[in-house]
Amino acid sequence: MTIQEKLIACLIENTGIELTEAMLEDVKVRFDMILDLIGYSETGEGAAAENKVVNVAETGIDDNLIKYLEELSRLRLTHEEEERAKDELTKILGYIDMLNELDTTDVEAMSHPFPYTNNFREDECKASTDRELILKNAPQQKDGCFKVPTTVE
Amino acid sequence: MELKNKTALEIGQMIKNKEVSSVEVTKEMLSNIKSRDEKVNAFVTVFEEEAVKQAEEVQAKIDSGELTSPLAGVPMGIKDNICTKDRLTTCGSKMLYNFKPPYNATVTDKLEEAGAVVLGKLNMDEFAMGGSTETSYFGATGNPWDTERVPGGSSGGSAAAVAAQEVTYALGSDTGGSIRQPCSFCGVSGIKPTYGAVSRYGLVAFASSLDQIGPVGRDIKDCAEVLSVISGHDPKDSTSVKRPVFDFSSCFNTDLKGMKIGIPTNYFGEGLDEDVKKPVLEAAETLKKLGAEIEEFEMNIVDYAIPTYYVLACAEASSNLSRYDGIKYGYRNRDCEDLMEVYLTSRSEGFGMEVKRRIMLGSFVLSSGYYDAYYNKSLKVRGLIKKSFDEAFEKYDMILSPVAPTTAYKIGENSSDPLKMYLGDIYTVSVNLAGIPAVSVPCGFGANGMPVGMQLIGNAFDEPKLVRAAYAFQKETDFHTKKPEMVEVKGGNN
Repeated sequence: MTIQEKLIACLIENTGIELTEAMLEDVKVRFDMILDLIGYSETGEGAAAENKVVNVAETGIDDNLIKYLEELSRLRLTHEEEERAKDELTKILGYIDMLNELDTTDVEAMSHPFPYTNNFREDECKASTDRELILKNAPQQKDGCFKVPTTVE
Repeated sequence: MELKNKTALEIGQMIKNKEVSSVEVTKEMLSNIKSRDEKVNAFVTVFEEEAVKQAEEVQAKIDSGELTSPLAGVPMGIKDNICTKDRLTTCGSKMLYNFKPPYNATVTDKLEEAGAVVLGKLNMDEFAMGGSTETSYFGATGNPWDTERVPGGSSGGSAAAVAAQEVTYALGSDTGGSIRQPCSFCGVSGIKPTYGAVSRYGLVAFASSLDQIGPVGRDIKDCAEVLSVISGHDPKDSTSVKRPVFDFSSCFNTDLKGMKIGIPTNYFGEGLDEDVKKPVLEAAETLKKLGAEIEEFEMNIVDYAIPTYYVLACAEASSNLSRYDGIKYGYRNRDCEDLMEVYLTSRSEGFGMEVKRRIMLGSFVLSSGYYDAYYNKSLKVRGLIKKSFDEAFEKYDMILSPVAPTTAYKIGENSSDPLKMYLGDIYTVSVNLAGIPAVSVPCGFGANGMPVGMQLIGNAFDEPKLVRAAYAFQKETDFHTKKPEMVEVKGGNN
């Protein structure tokens, strides 16, 4: 199944609308445009991701990637720490690559140890923790609020 | 007063019999802390005055008949990632060096309601990330058996404090082996409960789908008693399971007839020290002697547990630790001109290197383009690991394995090689991935004189079975009663 077919199947399932031939063609063209816009390649999403893995395993974590990870993590490393982290993360990712030996095609992703559904309770009004108590731990506070540097000029 | 050979339950009984008071026991433990902890460094914070005051209050309630729990009046310690109201909870990190939670963890509440006297907060790897308690901002903990060696981790302070008899029992937490491995390294007993058996409310989150709080004690009976106090559903933790608290009362007999124990052969292959292999295989013989049926089997999927674990644990950690922004609590760099600088400098100065490494690894596996290949792939392998445990428990009541591939190593020996450190978790992490329980109990000593533990792994909520087997084993053996020299010598004239 191509990605277009998947998207169309999903569309039909979710909306319940029957599509005529002409409408189907139109939808396909539009999906193509969107996929083109986001730079999707026809080799499929899994393949695209796997290509990148091979890249990381081969080239290791380079300067650009470590800077990107610092940005995502809101961390700032010294040059020395960056060099060490590049080296260590490359080694760790190289080890993690052994997961590719396993065929997981039809395996369901397991994000939680047990089947887990939303756990609702009655919506009752209850006092939450006192504001004063919460603010006790704030590095800086003012007028009952957390204080931070100017955020808007 | 002779306390050094007593378990928490025995001390609780002595308090009930008025042979000793809670205050006396508390003072005795505080004096042990004073004389031993300079070398061991198991404590981040000692609640010296508060503990004595708490002991007095508890004793009054015992005397009036208000408190009847078997552990009432018995002093203990809590790992420093479990919240204690208005009392420091640092997580072993500069990031939380001054954090006093405005609330108690549910487990703290439950224990204090049962009459626990909290002596203080126990050292750990920073944010529970590590297996040696070397990454703590408050300095490494030493193993009471040889203070130049690590106590294991991340609950190294908990295991070391029990081994040094600075506490009678302790709470730890286990995300990938953090209760079991330090128990093995320090010659004490511990339980990693089934995921959802114990409330995580008030446990500082590391990897929320893997974390569980559990007991560390002198023997399995103490651990079972503590677990029965802290387990049970908690409306404040939506992942806690609606089940009654554990009842272990029928577990304390020594007959293991009819019990089938599987030994996964690939747990005993390359990488396992002879020092560990020998006592664990001898333990299998002991269990056999007690009536259990032992059988070897293959469980190859667990070879993939470490990469799976590190992808998932780091992914969850990178998300969980995003809350540390230098604004709401904890460390903050105060010389910042804008908000982004507050985040960047507070986090960069507040976290240690291992924590930073794991946050970045987590950010990587969750980032666009890599999510499927790493995170999603690992979730699928996690499913395979769970499935292979399910299959094993169709045949066996439990699985016997080593806890760690080695005995306690020297402080500094592995700390420069994170990957080598991660490989030490090989026998423990799959249990957390599958959400199932396991116990670690002493089963011998290596040639270097350091303790060795064995691991018994059970199916979900089969803690009573594990306790039964561990209890029978401890009735038959005396490894758990051995004490490090510092306890034998210095505590000898109590």
